[in-house]
Amino acid sequence: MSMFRTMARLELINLFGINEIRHSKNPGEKKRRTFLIFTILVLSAMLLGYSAAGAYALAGMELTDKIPMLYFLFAFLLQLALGVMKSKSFLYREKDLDMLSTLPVRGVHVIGARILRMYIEGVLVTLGLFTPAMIIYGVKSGAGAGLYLSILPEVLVLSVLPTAISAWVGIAVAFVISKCRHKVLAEVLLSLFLVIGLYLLFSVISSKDTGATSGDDKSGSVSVSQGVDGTTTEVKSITELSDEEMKARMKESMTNAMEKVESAFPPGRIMGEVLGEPDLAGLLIYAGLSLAVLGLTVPVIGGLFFRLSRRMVVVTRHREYRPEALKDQSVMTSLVKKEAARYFSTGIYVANTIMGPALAVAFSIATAFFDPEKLISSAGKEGLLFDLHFAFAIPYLIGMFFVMMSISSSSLSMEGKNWWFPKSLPLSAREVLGAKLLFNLIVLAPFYAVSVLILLFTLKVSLLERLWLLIIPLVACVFSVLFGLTMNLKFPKFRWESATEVVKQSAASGLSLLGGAALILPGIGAMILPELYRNLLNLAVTILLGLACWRMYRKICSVRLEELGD
Amino acid sequence: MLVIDHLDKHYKGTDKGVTDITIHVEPGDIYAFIGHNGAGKTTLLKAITGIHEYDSGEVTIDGINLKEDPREVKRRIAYIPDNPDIYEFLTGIQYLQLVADVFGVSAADRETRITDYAERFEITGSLGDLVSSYSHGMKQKLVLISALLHNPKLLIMDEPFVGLDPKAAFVLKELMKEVTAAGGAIFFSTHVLEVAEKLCNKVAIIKDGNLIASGLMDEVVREGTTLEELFMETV
Repeated sequence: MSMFRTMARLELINLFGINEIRHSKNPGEKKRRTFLIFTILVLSAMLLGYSAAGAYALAGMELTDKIPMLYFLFAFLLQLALGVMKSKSFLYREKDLDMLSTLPVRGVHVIGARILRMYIEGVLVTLGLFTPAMIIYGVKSGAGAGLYLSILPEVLVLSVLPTAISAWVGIAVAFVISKCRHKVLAEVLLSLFLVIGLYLLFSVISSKDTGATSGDDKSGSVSVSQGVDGTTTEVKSITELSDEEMKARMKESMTNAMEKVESAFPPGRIMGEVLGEPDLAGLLIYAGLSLAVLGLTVPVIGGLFFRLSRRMVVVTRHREYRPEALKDQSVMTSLVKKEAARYFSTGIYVANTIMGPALAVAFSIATAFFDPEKLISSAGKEGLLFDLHFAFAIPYLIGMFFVMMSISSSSLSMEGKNWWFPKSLPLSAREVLGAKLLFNLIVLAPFYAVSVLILLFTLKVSLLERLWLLIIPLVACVFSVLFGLTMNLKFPKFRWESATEVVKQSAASGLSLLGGAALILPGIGAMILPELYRNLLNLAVTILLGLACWRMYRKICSVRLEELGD
Repeated sequence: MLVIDHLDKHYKGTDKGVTDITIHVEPGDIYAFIGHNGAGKTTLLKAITGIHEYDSGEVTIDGINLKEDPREVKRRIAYIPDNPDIYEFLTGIQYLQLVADVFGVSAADRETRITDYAERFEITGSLGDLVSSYSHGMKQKLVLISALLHNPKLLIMDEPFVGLDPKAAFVLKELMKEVTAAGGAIFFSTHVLEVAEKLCNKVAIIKDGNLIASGLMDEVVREGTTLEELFMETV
């Protein structure tokens, strides 16, 4: 037990970099880390705000009783998604394997401590999402003090099961990878299969559910939609709806969505009732089940820890080198090749950054088989609020896929301990950083070309819309590359033990993801606005992104490499 | 060759760093730079190679000011760090090719030099392997080869003998003599005082960021004493 405590302390001592803030004597580093904590706090505040606002809106639509169920599902799925994404690299780390192997520590202690950290992070996410919603629920439903007192225990209980499931997914992925000869490739393919498979499954299900959309025009000029009861509803423009009509439509839409959720996830409905009462017995049963799963998880995964970890270490075979004719090449070619070698040698880096472009291609291919209107609108068009033209948002959607996780947002930090090397060479920032930008663009180029080419065939839109389909994702690609590197220059992280820290958990990668999410707004605008305004919006977005790109490029080229890193 | 003139470099928010360092390295010099752990040796070496910025003072190499034209300065020098943290995802030969490309070494020259140095360090057969599979000493040998590829006028090395086997250490000493015999110069830090005393014609001793002695080895180390004794007395 004392060894578990030691391992747990090791895991938790630097949670969110707090230990480094406390002890770092470098004011720059301290400032960066403090800013990171501040960003986390702002994001937490946003999570609390959105959670409360969402619950308040549900209460306003007389759906108060659905709040516990819905937020239980939100919290569960969010924690599960975050946990699944990081569990493999979180549980198995090559860097400290040798150190741990020399200590009198068992795999159960190591895994127990790492699962504890995953659980604590999950509790924080659940706390932010679940608590405000349940307080609103309590106020609106006139619940007694028991409900408020039960929120914290509920949060502690709710986070157990997604943590345990994430750990199992992590070990399953690790097991498959350990059996493969090409471990990097296996990791990338597994991640891609998982995400794209889920996406296609989701698309197929949603397109079946919403098969009632009328009209064979794929251009998105939907004028009529059919509700679940078979009645046909005329869709009005946003400007034509009165406040009352809008509220009624919104309520109808949400009620339909809730019914779908309840029928799709019966345990969610049961848990909603347990949490809303609150039903102590039900909660204890759930806690018991969760702890039983966790109780099984830690010994099994812990027992396999050292064996699996060793199998995952990449061992290269020695081949006797015979001197051969050497060729010289340009500095840029050489630097880009170096970037490529680094990229393709790190499975987590590839898996994390190739997902967006691969989804863009998957989406494009899917449009050949399914109506794009249905692919985007998973909730269907029952109770549609406005005449939405989904097809017009596709350039932004594709653009967003490209911006989701840029390679460049980690490319500087990935230099890690090697950063002294480019700094010591007679190279300018334009060459060192330019190679990183160029490599990112080279990776994106085929995905861009394939997805846009497919969409040009599958979407039946006007010539001008086709032009936007070419331009907006292109500008988004360039923007993502430059924005990613700009964020990485602002928040470099040269000291890391595992690439996961850089690729998934760094401020730069997180902020570049948020920057990409900004494309949602013009995308929504493009769906709603009439043609003239839509084209003006597209033009404005293109110009603004273009100008931002130019400014970022100029700034990147003027960076003084000596100032970066220790 | 290398002129360090009243150089100051301190890490922000700390008292760590070096103060008012003045050192002149002439062509043909093998200049040892010694001091206790944390004295500021690596800080100075990183500052004069353009890896770190420095606060004040001047650094010129071959008459070219480091702050004014860092790229031109870097073309003339080679830096070997205390830890050979090099790209593990490249093979040895790919790493050498990268360095040769950056310094614009012709295909013929790089072929000759890589073959020669790799044979002398007995690393030829491993050049096709990933650097990640190399031992510390092999990485050190690879860094040494890469540093010599463009025939630098000045070699700046941080603890170059650490991790080398006796044979490789001997080869390195021979190479250092060859570089200086050809008109080049070497400025390196070391804790191996016997090697420094035998190999170097000049020495500088640093303590807590301040230079406490520098100049010709014969003048700094008085007759009848050793560098080790001097070091123990002063540091």
